[in-house]
Amino acid sequence: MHISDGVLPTTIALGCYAASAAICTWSVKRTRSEDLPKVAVLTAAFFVASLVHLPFGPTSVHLLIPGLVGALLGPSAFLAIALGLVLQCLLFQFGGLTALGANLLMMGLPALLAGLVFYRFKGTGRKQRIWVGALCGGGATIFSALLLAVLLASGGEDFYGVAKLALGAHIPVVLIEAGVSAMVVSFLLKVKPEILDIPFVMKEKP
Amino acid sequence: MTIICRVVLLTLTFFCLATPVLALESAVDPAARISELEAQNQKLHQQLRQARRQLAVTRSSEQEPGWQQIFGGVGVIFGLCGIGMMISARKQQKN
Repeated sequence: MHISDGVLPTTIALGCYAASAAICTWSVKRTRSEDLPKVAVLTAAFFVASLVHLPFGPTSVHLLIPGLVGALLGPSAFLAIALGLVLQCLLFQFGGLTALGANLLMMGLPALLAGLVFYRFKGTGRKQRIWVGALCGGGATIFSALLLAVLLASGGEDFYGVAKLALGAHIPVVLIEAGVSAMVVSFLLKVKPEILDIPFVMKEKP
Repeated sequence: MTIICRVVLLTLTFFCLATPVLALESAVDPAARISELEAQNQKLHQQLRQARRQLAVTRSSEQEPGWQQIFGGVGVIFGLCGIGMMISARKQQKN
């Protein structure tokens, strides 16, 4: 799920760049220095996750994990995804440099939303946390497929056609993401539960 | 003389008989030839498609990131994290 070079009109691409730069600045400001190692680890995980190809029927799908990154990093998720996508773009030729802003929005916004949802609804129970983690993982993928459709629709494509195609192609990814997120959350609950208590604060701390 | 006459007549009849046969043959030939060519064309087409597929596979495998890229990227990520930690540590030291 990457937008290639030259698909989007220039104005939209520039707008996406501006928006993602703004969100990235906000995300950097929200990142606490003691969280930096966690951000680095999850950035590396996000960067590498897209290389894990899982055979599914005739094709193979790869993980995206914006939901997991969002749930574990909260507001810093956008920074992590920005860094990961820049490196993927430069090293793996995933998407183009001109479409980087759009790709960033497409992956970063679902991650932030997943972080917010996880923060709000994680509750205290073990089961609830696992379920909410799975929901974040699957929902973020669906959301990014929808964002892809919106962005491509701005380039003149038919929204419902693209949305149907993107969602259809990502049904297995959504299921796998939900499963992987649930597994990671349950594992973290066992070994290091405090890592899940990332505050999602909108305001600058004093 | 009679022999020459006979020979000429025979050749004439032969040609008269042969021409329609030849014409008939040439009338039948195009269809068979076309089908033969079509079969050949299809075979070549298939081979071309195979070659194209192989080319695409090679290309995609060439584009696939190797270990260098992966570890390089991970290294860049951790390096940037280190720089961030250094900056924050300096800030804390100043304070």
